[in-house]
Amino acid sequence: MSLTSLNFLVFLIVTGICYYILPKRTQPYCLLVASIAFYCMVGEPWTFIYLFVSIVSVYAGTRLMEWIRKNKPQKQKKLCRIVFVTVLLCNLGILAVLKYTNFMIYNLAYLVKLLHLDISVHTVSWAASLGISYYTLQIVSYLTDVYWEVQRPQHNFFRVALFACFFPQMVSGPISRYSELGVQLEQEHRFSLEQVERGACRILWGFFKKLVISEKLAVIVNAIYADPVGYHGLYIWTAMLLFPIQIYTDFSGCMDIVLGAAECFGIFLPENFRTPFFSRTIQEFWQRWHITLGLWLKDYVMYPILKSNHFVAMGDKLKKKYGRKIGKQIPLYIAMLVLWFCNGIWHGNSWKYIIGVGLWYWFAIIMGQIFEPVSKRMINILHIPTESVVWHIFQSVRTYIVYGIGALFFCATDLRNGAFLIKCGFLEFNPQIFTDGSFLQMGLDGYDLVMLGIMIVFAFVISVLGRNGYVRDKIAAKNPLFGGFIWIMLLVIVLVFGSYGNGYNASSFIYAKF
Amino acid sequence: MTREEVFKALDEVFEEVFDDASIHVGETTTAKDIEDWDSLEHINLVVAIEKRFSMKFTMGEVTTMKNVGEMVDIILERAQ
Repeated sequence: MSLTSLNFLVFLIVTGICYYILPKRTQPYCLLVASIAFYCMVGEPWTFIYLFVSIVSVYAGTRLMEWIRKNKPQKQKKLCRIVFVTVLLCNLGILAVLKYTNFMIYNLAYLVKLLHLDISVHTVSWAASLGISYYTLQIVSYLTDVYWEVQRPQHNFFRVALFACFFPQMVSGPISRYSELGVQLEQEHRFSLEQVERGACRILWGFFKKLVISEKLAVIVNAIYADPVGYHGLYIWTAMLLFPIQIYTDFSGCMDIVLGAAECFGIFLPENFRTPFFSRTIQEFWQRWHITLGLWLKDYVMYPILKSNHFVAMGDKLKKKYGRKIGKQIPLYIAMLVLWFCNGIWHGNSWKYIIGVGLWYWFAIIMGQIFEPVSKRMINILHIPTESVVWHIFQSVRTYIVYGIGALFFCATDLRNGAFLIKCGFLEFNPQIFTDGSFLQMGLDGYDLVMLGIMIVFAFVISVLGRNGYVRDKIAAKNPLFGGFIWIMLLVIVLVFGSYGNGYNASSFIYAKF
Repeated sequence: MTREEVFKALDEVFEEVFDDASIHVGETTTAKDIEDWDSLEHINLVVAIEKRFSMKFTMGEVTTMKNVGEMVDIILERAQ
C-alpha cells in the first residue's frame, strides 16, 4: 500500500472516522491498532516481532532506569549506564544484523581475497522490519533522552509502542522526538474541519510533487542512468542536474503526505525540509534537507563524541602543540567524519552511499571551511557584493551541483557504477541532444516535457512564496471561494497530469527503502 | 558567584571562542544573535565554559539549553 494509492486514502479516512467517533481517551489505542494494521498490510507481518522486541526493550530499559534512580541513588550512574548501553546495543544490533549483514560479509570476503585465500561467499536474505532505520533512531532518541534525564519515562507501554510505530511516519519518517510527538499522542484531539482540510490540502500538494513531477522526471533520469554508454556526455550531466529535483519532489512530497495525514488527526510532526535549494553552502543545505536525520546525528552522534573526555583531551594537546585553530578543527573534523559516515551508511548497506551520500559531503564541507579565508580574501579583492541576489544565486547553484554529484551515487548500482557514470559524462560533448529531439525518445513526448517544465516552475514559485510561512495559510487568509478554486485546480492538475491508475505502478518513494 | 559575575566571565569565554572582543551576552542571547555560533561551534563553546567554571554540563543540557540565561542557571546550580 503506497502512500499515493487509493487504498491508503481509504485507510486514512476509515481510521480518521474511528478516531473521532470513538471516546477521546481511546484515541491513542485507535491509532495503535491502525498502525499495527498498516504494518501488516505494507510489510511482512511476521517481521513485526523485531519492532516489538525494540519497543519492549526500550520500555523496559527506561522503566528500569527510573527504578534505579529512585531506589539505588548511590549506584545510579553506573547502573543506568549499564542498562542504557545494553538496550542501545540490542536495538542497534537488530538494525545492524538485519540491514548490514550482507555488507559485512562482502567486505570481509573482499579482505580475505586480498590475502589470496579462496573462500565461497554465502549471503543471507533476512527481511528487515518496515521502516527499521527510522523507528530505530526514533526509539533510541527516546531511550537516550531518558538516560540523559531530559525526558521522563512513559509508564504506559502502548503509548511507547504508538510513538515507535505511528503509521503515517512509519515508512519514511520524519524522525520525531518523544518531547514533540509522544506528548501529542497522549493528548485528546477534537475534530476540526479546518484542521482536516489543512491536512488534506497538504496531502494533495504531496501528491502533486510525487505524481506530477517526480514520477515524470524519473522516466528521463532512469532511462539515462540505465544505459550510460548509449546516453553519455551531456545526457549524464542532465540526469545529474535533474535527479536532485526528482528526489526532492519525491521525498518532500512523501513528507507532505505524511505530515498532512498526521495533521488530520491533530498531530503535528516536525518538518523535514526548509527550501534546501536556496542554501548558500552544502553545510546549510544539509541543515535544510532531511532535517530530522541531521539533527539526530548531531545530537546523538557528533555532540557526544566531541564532548567525550578523549576528544577534549585530544583538542587540548593539539592546541598546545599546533595552536588554538588546529586544536579546535581536528577533533571537529574527525567527529564530522563519523557523522557523515553514519549518514551514508544509514542510507544503505553499500559503499556508494557511504562515499556518495556521506564522505563526499564531509569532504565538501571541510574544503569549504579550510578555504574560507582564501574565499573571503577573493571576495574582498573582487569587491563582490555578498548580499546581492546574483551572488546568492551563484552560491545556490554551486551548492546544487555539489549535492547533485553525491546524489548521482543514489542512482548508481554500486560505487564502481557511480564512477563509471561520471566517466561516461566525459565521453563526448554532445550539445545537439538538446535540439535534435533526443529527449523525446525516452518515454515522454514534447507535450509531457513542456508540461513537466511548467510544473517544476510552478513548484519553484510556490517554494519561493512559502519561504516566509505556509502558502496554505496565505491561501486560507483569502476569500474561501478563491481558496477552494486553487485546491480544486491542483486536484485537477494531479488527476490530468499525474502518473497513476490501472496499468501504472507509481514507483515507491525513494526514502521508503530504508 | 553572583549572576552578574557569571555573565562577565561568560563574556570573556565567548570573546575567546568566537574571537570577537565586542561580544556581550545576556539572559536571552541565543545562537541566532552571534554570527559564528553554529552547531559545530556550540560544543567548543560548551567545553570552554566547562573549563572556565570547572563544571560539567550533561549531554541532555547541551542539546536542550535554549539561551545563555539557561546556561547561567545551570552554572549557578552546579556552583552551589
